[in-house]
Amino acid sequence: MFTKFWDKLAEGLAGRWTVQTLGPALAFWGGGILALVWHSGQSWQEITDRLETLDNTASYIALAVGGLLVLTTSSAVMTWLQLPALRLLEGYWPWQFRKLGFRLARHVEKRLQNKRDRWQQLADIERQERTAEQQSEYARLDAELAYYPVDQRHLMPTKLGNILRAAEEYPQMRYGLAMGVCWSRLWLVMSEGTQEALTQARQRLNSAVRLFVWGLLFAVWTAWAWWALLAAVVVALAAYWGMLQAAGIYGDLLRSAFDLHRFALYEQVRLPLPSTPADEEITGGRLSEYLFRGTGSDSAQFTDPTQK
Amino acid sequence: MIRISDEQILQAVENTRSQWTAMLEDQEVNDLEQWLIQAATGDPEAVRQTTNRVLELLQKHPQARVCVTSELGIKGDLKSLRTYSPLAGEHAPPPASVLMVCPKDPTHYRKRLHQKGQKLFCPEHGVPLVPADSIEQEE
Repeated sequence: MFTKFWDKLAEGLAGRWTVQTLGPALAFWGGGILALVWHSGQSWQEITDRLETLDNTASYIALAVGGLLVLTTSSAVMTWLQLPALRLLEGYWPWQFRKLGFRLARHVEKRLQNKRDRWQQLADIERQERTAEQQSEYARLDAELAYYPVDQRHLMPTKLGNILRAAEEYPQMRYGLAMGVCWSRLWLVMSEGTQEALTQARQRLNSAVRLFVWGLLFAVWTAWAWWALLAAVVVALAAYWGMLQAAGIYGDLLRSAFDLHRFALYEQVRLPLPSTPADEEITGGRLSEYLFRGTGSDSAQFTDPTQK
Repeated sequence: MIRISDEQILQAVENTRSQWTAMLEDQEVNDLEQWLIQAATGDPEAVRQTTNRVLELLQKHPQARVCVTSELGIKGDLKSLRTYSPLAGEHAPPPASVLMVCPKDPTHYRKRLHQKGQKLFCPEHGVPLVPADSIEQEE
């Protein structure tokens, strides 16, 4: 009975608190203990001897429950912090740093212009006439430029911010659909498979954000061990790299979701579909306005769902 | 990455039928039987839904999950096999066919459009570039 209870508890923990959530917390606190041991100058033998003096089961249980509590609580706090942390990493900074953000974004714009100029040079060469090196550079630049917002006013001071902003801007630029208004509605008309793919991609991004913050926090153990700073830098850099990859995938899926499901949104709202790609910007704008403000489509006729 | 179809997953679950009672709750066994009957109709939507339900169920039972994955001859998480992964290589970019020109003098300044919505300006006249096609049509 008791074993079954522990099995269920372990299953529940494994389900809700996956390795991705608890793993970094475990590494953080474990690293802290290691740093403390390093600082105290005690040998492992001395520590295990001291643990063995806790000879009653109650002490072990208290230690285990306490440890589990610290792990789960710190992981929960980190989960709450992941969105503010993600926004900071994107470049949405408090008002005191806004000017700095805009200045950095202008710096990004200059570097981006160099890339765009180079892309133009390569695009002007006929495909068959490009060398292998030029073709490779062209392909790399073509893909890279798609991860920056088209509207220069939307440029962010960080690479992560630009990858996500480019994806968020996409439905507006292509289809006239305001992301902030349409995303929640589109989510409800998407298939389970699409929702699952997007959720997994977002979870991967969130995991990388949490790992980044845990990595930075690891630097606090530098007070006890110098190598904690090194570990903190390595983990934070690796997590940031992982974040860029995850953001790229998430952004690609966001774009794809609008490419493939936007007509389902029109159909569910029963507003007429755009008749040509050139019309989309106007009809998308009207749909967004209608959903957000209730205006913009007063003269439109609702479509009849029975007539396909 | 290994690609496993929904049908293959459901077949593997079917093959482990004799072990269900030892690994799952009674109610779950009943549910599973019902789902597989629905999927047996061959309706793609029913197959997809059943696979999703089966994967959810297997997430809760590590022993059953191992049993099904070994039946499929794979290692790792079943759900991850259905996760989107980007292509690893470098790919030929699609054509950038829209040529933007200065409306004042279409011959002196021209740029290719990378993305719809991009604002391009003529540095000499300070006017937004327009698609070359639109100038030709006017002429």
